[in-house]
Amino acid sequence: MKPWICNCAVFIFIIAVTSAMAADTVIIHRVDDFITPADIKSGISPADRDAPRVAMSHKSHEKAGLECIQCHHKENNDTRIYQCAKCHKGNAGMEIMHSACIDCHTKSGSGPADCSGCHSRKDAELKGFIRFSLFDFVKGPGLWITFLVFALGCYYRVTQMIKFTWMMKHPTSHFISPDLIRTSIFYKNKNPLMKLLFKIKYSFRKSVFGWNPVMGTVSSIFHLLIFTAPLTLPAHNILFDEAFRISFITLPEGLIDKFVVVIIGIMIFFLLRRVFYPRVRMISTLGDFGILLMVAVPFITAYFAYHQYADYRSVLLAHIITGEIVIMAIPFSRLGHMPFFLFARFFMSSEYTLGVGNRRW
Amino acid sequence: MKGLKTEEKIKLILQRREAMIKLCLSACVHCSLCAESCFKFHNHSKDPSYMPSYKALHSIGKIFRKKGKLKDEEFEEMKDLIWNKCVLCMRCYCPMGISIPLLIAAARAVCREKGYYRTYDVISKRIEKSKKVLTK
Amino acid sequence: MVKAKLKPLEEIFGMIRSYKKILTLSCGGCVSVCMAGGQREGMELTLELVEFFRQNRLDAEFTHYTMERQCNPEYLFDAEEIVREADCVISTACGAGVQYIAESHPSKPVFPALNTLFIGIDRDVGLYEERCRTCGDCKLGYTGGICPITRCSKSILNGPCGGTHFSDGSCEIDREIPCAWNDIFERLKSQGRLENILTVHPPSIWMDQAQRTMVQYGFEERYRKKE
Repeated sequence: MKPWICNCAVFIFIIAVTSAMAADTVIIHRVDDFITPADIKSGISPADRDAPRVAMSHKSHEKAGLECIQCHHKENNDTRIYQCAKCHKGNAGMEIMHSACIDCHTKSGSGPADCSGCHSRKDAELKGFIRFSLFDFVKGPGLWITFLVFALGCYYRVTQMIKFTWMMKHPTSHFISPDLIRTSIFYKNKNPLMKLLFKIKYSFRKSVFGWNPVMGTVSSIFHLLIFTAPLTLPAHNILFDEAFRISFITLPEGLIDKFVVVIIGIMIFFLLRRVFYPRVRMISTLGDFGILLMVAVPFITAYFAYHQYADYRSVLLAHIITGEIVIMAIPFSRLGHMPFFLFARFFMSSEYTLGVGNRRW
Repeated sequence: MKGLKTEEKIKLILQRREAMIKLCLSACVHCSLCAESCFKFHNHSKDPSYMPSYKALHSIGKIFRKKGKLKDEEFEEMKDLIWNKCVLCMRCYCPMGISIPLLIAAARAVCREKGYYRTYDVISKRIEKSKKVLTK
Repeated sequence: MVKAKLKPLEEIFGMIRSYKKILTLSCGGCVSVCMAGGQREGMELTLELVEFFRQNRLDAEFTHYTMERQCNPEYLFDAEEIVREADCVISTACGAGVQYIAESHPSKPVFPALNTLFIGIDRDVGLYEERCRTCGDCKLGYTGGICPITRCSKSILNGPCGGTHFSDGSCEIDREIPCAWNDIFERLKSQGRLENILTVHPPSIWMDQAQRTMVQYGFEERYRKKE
């Protein structure tokens, strides 16, 4: 792995966490922030009044004993990432949001009920602005940049691989007559199902599952989960949908939380293996530990964010930033074994090829 | 190749394979899953220095990092690693599909230029020994 | 494994005398184990040829390079450029290696420097004995681990022939040659499985006649001829 990637990751992570810790305040978007031309056509007009943005502290509301759902109604709002102003637009939206806050404040007798109590320029513009724009950046253009870098990097890697390998021809294929091919007993089985089973068994036994079943299974589970968990999380799919208009099948959040626990557990196993198993220790470098840490951070922050162990917003920010760094680093670091694996196992000629396997170095 | 010094020849050899070596070395995740596929590894009571990835990383990896400028002792050590501990049977399993024998062959090419290679007439002692064992 | 011997220098010289840029390509496989075409032998051959050319007042540029194997596509890359630079190639590999180099560089004349002799064992350093003729139908199972195809002068499968000198167990062709079938009999007798050669074995299916291609099992699906 290139050291600068590791340094950048740590650096940005520290900046994100410290800037996030500075304030747990959330800036509530103005009701006309998300108004589109289509909305104006359909009769929604921008708000009449103009006031500074509202800075709201989640912590103080939680201390007062409020449930999340009291403000973040779950209906059509699965992730709680959506801004109120995304749906509650224009004058009508302003009415709803005003009444939601002010009614509660007056009823409970705590919290400001006058305009300047909430609409204070000082809090909103100064405290949260930097962090907020960062958050918007990583969620919007950041995501685009990430996937663009990832896709171009993978493309570069694969073209490199195509460049350094060449297509095998089988010049002698016309010599092969069926009677010269010695068929093994596994393939002579008449029953097609048994034949398939034998085939699978045979290819399993000669692969890593045959001689190192523990490591084979563990790493298969790990690699399966590391893709399933992020791709099927509802929150991520909403982000994908917002950014690229695509989404995948989603699994329940509780299940994915368990996946994340398994992933972190396996990573600890990998770490212990690297430290204590002589054959792995002998070829380990500092970069290997760096990569392990780099991949672990997004999952640890995801776990913290889901369970709301620390300040939700800042953990989420750290999660998004580190996650994007890891995705961008895939083609350019040891994580490059992702495109490499797919290419090599399906197109390279070897004993263990899974696909056509007609290329050689 | 003609009329070049040994160092320049080594440089040329490395240059020609540079991209391939770089690609393979960067794709190796140091997972050690290749160990069990090596028959030498099994025959030598699972000594980790017989592991294919160890052999590749400590031969061509080392040469590549130092751009071929190694001390004579290091070459001598490497000779043992890539000739006696590997027979280039090409049966190693790499989950990433890296061709480990190709990397070791590149290391051998460099060593050959330096004049380190295996000679087969020094095994006579071993033959004597095995003869004794057989006649017992 | 494969055993080979260097051709007479005059013969090699005759093949390459008209070329100006000559590459000696050694092989690091079997021929370097039998000390016929490894790196050192290749280097020695090059030096000898330089001297030979000088004696004959001819001028040529010699290069030497050692490939790991000359019979495997993955190692071909090793010498690709060097081969391309040369006018002709003298390969010190076995017949298979020479053919593969010639096949992959169709425009280059490739000459053999070795006579490939047999598949054999290393009796001692520099002393080799033939043990297999790759007949394609191994009979060692019932002949007590002695190959009648290789060892018997007539290569007969149901021996002995009747010309054996039973006094010292030698072949009728030469008193120096031990009779393979006598040895087979002695070994089977000592192991108590003489019944192995009491039955008549049918004639062998000789596969040596046409070029053979082999597909290892487990790989049938990959290389089966597409109908």
